[in-house]
Amino acid sequence: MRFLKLYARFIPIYFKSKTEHGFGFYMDFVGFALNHVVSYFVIWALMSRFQTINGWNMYEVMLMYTLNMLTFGIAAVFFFFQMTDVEEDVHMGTFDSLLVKPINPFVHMIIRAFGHFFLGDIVIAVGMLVFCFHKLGLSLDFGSAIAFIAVLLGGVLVQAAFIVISGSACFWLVRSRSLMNMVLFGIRDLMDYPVSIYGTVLRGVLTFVIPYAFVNFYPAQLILNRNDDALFASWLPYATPAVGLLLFAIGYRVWNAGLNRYQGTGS
Amino acid sequence: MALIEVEYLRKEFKRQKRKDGFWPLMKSLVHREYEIKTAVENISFTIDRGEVVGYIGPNGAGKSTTIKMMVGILVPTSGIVRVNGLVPYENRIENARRIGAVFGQKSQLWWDTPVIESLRLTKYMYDIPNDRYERNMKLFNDVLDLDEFKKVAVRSLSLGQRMRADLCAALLHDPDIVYLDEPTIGLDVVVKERIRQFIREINRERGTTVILTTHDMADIEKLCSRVMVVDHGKLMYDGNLETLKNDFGNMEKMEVDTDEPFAMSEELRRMGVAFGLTEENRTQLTYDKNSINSTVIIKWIMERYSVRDFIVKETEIEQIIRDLYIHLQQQGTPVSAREEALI
Ligand SMILES: Nc1ncnc2c1ncn2[C@@H]1O[C@H](COP(=O)(O)OP(=O)(O)OP(=O)(O)O)[C@@H](O)[C@H]1O
Ligand SMILES: [Mg+2]
Repeated sequence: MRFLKLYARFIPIYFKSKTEHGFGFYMDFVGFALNHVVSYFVIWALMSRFQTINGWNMYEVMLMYTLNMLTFGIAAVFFFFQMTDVEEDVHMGTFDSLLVKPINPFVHMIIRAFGHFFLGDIVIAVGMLVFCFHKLGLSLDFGSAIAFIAVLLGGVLVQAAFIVISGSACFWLVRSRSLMNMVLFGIRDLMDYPVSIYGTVLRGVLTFVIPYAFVNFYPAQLILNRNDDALFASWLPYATPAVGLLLFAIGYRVWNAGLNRYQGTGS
Repeated sequence: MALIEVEYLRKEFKRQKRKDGFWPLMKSLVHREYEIKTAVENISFTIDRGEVVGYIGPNGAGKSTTIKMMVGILVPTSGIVRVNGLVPYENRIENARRIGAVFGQKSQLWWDTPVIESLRLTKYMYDIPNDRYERNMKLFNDVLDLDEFKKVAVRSLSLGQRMRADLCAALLHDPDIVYLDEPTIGLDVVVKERIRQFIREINRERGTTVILTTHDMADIEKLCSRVMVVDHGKLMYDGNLETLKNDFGNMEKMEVDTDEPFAMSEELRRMGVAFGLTEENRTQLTYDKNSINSTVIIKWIMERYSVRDFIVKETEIEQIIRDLYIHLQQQGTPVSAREEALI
C-alpha cells in the first residue's frame, strides 16, 4: 500500500521531467515499433512460403512472437531502464543514495522511473494479440481468461527476473551492460520460433536452465490447446506461473546479494 | 549504552590488478588477480547522544569508508558497527529512518527532479507529518535560503545550492544522527558560516548527534567538541580539541619588531628557538612552548635590542593538523604511503 502511494507520487514527477524534453518524449512511444513491424513482415514472408513450422501455422507463430513481445514490454516498463539506471549508478558510485533511504532499494529502484518507452510495444502487442485470436478463431470464456492471465503474468515474471538478474551483474562485473543485452536480446530472439524446432539440448536449456520457453512457448501451447508437441511433460504449460514466481524470487535474491557486494567508488 | 558503537571495524576493498602488455592482459582474462586495499583497519570508538564529532585525516585515510559503514551503505569486512542498537547494513530501512546523511561529493536527492519536488518526495518517503514538514521547511528555508532555487532540477544546481538542498533533505525528518561527509566542500565563506551555524543550532536545540568529516579546520574549531584523526585506516587520535592542541600545538610563534636588524644568535638557537621569515626589522621566531617560556625569550631580546612591538601567536589549528599529518606520515607505514603515490 505504502509502495503504491509512493509510486503515485513519483510517477507524475517522472513524467513532468520527461515531457520537458518535448518531441523526443513522444517519439519514444514509437520506440521499437518499426522493429516489430519488420519482424511481423519477416514472419509473414517466411510462413507464406513454408505454411507451417513444425506444425505451427503463421498466426500461431505470430501469436508466439506477440506473447514474447507483450511479456517483455510489460516487464520492461517496470524494470528495464530501472536496471540500466542501476548499472550507471553502481558505476558512478551514486548507488549510495538508494542505500540510505527508508525504503527497500528494490522498490525504490522500480518506482523512481517508468518505462514509457515500452508502452508503444504493449499497444502493438495487444493489437496483434486480438488479431491473432481472431484469425485463429480463439475465444476466451471466464475460466480460460483466468488461465490466460495467469500464464501471461508468469511470462512477465520470467522476463522481469531475467532483466533483474542480468542487470544485477553490475555488482560483480564492471562492464555488465553487454551481458545484459546479450541475455535480454540475444537469447530472447531464440524464442521467436517454437522451441520444438530446436534439438533436445537447447529445448532442455530453454526449459530448465534459462527457462525462456515459459514466456511464450508453453503459454502458447496452453492457449492453443496443443497437446501434440508437448515437450518433456504435458503439464509444463500449467507450471508457467509457478516458474515465474520462482525465477523472480531468485532474481530478488541475486539483487540482494549484489547489494551486499556493492563497494561504491572512492569519494 | 552509547548511541554508536564501533568495534574493530575493518574494510578491505578488492581492486582488480591492472595489467600492461599483451600476455599479462590475456592471462588476467582467465585468472583474475586482485589486490586488497585495507581502507579501514581495526577502528574502535563509541559516540554518545548529542556529541559533535569531527572525523579528520589526510586524503584516502578512510574517513568516507568509515562513514559509509556507519550509514549502512557498505558492509564491513569484519568488526562491528551498531547504531541505536541496530546493525546498519542488516537493518537499512530501520536505520535510515533515524539518520540523515550528506555526502559533499554526491547528492542524495533525485537528480532530474526540482528541489521542492525532491523535498516533497522525502516527506512521503519518511512519512513526515504535514505540520512537522511545514515547520521544518520554514525554519530551514530561513537559514538555507532555498527559495531562490527551489524550482530548479537538482542536476542544475550550483555546488553550494546543492549542498543546502541536501542538508535540508537530510534533516527534514528530525533524525537522531546526521553524518556529514565534507559538508562545506567548495562553499563560499558566507555559506560555510551559515551552514556551520545551522549545524550548531540543530545540535543544540534538538540534541542531534553530528559526525562530520572535513578538510577545513575552521569547521572543526567552530563545531566539534571531539576530534578523531585517522590515517591509513587507523585511528591515531581520539579526544577533545583542547588536548589535541596541547599535544601537537606546542610550537608557538613570536613576531618581534626591533629598531636595528635582528641578528641570528647561536645562543638563542641553543635555547630551542628557530628563526623564521625575517623582513626588514620584523623577525619571526618559533619555539616549543613546553620547553621555553615566551617571557624568557623576550627578556633575552630586550636586553640586546630595543623592541618596538611584539606578538605571540598560538599555532593555528591548521598548522597543528599539518604537523600532526606530517608526524603520522613519518611514523606511519612508508611502504603504503609510496603505494598511494604510485596509483
Ligand atoms: N570503492 C572503492 N574501491 C576501491 N578502493 C576504494 C574504494 N573506496 C575507497 N577506496 C580506497 O580506500 C581508501 C580510503 O578511502 P576513503 O574514501 O575512505 O578516504 P577519505 O578519508 O574519505 O579521503 P578523502 O579525504 O580524500 O575524502 C583510499 O585509499 C581509497 O582509494
Ligand atoms: Mg572522503
